[in-house]
Amino acid sequence: MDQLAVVKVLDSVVDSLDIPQSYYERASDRHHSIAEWLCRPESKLSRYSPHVTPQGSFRYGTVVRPIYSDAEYDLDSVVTLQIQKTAKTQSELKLLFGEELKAYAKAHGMLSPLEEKPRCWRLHYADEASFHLDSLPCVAEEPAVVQAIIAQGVPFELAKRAVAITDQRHMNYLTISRDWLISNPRGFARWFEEHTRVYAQARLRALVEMRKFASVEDVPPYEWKTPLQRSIQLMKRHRDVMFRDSPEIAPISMIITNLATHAYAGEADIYEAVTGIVARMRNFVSPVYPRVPNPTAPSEDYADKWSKNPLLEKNFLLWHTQVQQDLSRLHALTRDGMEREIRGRFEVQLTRDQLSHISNPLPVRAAAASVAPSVFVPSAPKPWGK
Amino acid sequence: MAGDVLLNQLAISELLTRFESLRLIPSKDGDVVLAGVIDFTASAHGCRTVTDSYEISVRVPAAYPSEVPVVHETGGRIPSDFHKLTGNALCLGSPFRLWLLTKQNPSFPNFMERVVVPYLYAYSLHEAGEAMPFGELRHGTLGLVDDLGEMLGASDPEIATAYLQAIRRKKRVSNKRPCPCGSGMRLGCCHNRKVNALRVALRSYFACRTSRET
Repeated sequence: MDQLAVVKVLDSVVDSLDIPQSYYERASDRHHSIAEWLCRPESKLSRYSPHVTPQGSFRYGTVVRPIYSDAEYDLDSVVTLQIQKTAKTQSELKLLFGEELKAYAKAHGMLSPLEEKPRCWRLHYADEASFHLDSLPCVAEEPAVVQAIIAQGVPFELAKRAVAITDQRHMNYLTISRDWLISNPRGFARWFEEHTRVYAQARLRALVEMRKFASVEDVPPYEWKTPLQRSIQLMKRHRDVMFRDSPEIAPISMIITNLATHAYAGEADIYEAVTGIVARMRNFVSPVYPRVPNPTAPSEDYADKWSKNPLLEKNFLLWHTQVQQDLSRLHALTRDGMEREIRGRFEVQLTRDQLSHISNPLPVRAAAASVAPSVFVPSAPKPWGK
Repeated sequence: MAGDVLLNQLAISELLTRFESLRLIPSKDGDVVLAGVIDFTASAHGCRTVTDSYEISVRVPAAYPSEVPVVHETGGRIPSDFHKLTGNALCLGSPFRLWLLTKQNPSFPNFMERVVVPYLYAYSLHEAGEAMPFGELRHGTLGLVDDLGEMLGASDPEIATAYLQAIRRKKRVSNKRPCPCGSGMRLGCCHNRKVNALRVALRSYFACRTSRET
């Protein structure tokens, strides 16, 4: 089968993993709505100039339709506050933020209670498609920390977005301290967009020419549809299917996104891109801590859970081995084999039309292709029994 | 052992390329588990070639190769009164021989081709009413003695037992006694290499098992 046929198949797969554009728009509305709430005059946070930015796959344009129709979409937002770390304890800041979100949920008639997570608050929305929004309160980092990040080789434009986050598990959670966990979600998003946008230029210009957007700057990342973004969607879906019965030990999306962005070498089609990314991505896992650093705040480790739970690293490797294997055999498949394989690995049902450019070989070749490995056994252990 | 090392050592990619219908299953306890269909064509001296497939699951312990993989036939084809262990796992061979085999060649594809495929091949022939190509061991201790006897080249159970006694003695003591083969020479001048090698291997095997159980 020629490579073009596989490219077409994989493009069809990603198209069917894409979510309706209205979901992206709704996500954006929710971020704005929260931003307005936090900035209203009565808000206890308004004096700290809260700045709400979307985060995660909705921002990167890498959302994948969930396998189960009742599954929730994850929305992430970062709420950056202009306040000194030493002005409040992590716990005080987290609770203050929680109160505002609780009031927001009440004022908007949200029925599910606000849920506290170690680092963020989770709001549950009930729509025809359910969403939950994880909102991360944080404090802009002090200049000394930003300087230290720059000294590690991070450009100023990215480093300046570093923040201090609250974490219930942190030893200083309840005390006034300068020592908070450093994170840089906005820097990471910027970094991701910088690495992605260059490959979207042709499409951006086309969208503007078609008058769908006023300028290239107005095109949101989910409209970029670069081979990198689409490869990430494909890998996330493969992960979702492989770990459908044990999602708690699956490789997390941030690790896949981080490694894939490092590994992407600008391939123009999705097949070249995803196989290239998978072939190289493991080289970006460091043998020592931090194993998968945030490139815009190197002390932040996306794989921080691996050291406490080695199963997570093992399952990352199992997934990586399997996805590499599955992608490598696509080009050798017949039409029926391709239909089966795509259904099995990605839970996507291709239509007859989508499979039309893949040829089913003549019966003689089909028989030769499916030959089982042939083993001559000179000697073997004799079966036994207790 | 770090997951990386185990996976590389197992050569799982090579295995998945060879047996296309086997798949990795997420690991909940550190063991590497594969499941799916194993397709093969197998042949041996004096036996007809068989092409067949079985549904199996293979659990490779984190301590591999010190611990041997556990294989189940999951399609309900092999009855429990064939060569099976408690829990219905396939009894692929005497534990010592399997341990030795994986120690000598820890490559996991090798284990599949030299141990698992031959077992399934033998069952395919057995199911068709034909002789098993590599023979079979008696169940229980007698089978283990036969197996060790075979490693020493002693088909006579009495000679095999005499060899095992020689192995149980200390090397210095054993070498001064007559060789169990009946040559009339002392062991130290006759089959000493064979006996000594097996003594070392068995000690290491039992040490490995004891350390695991304590």
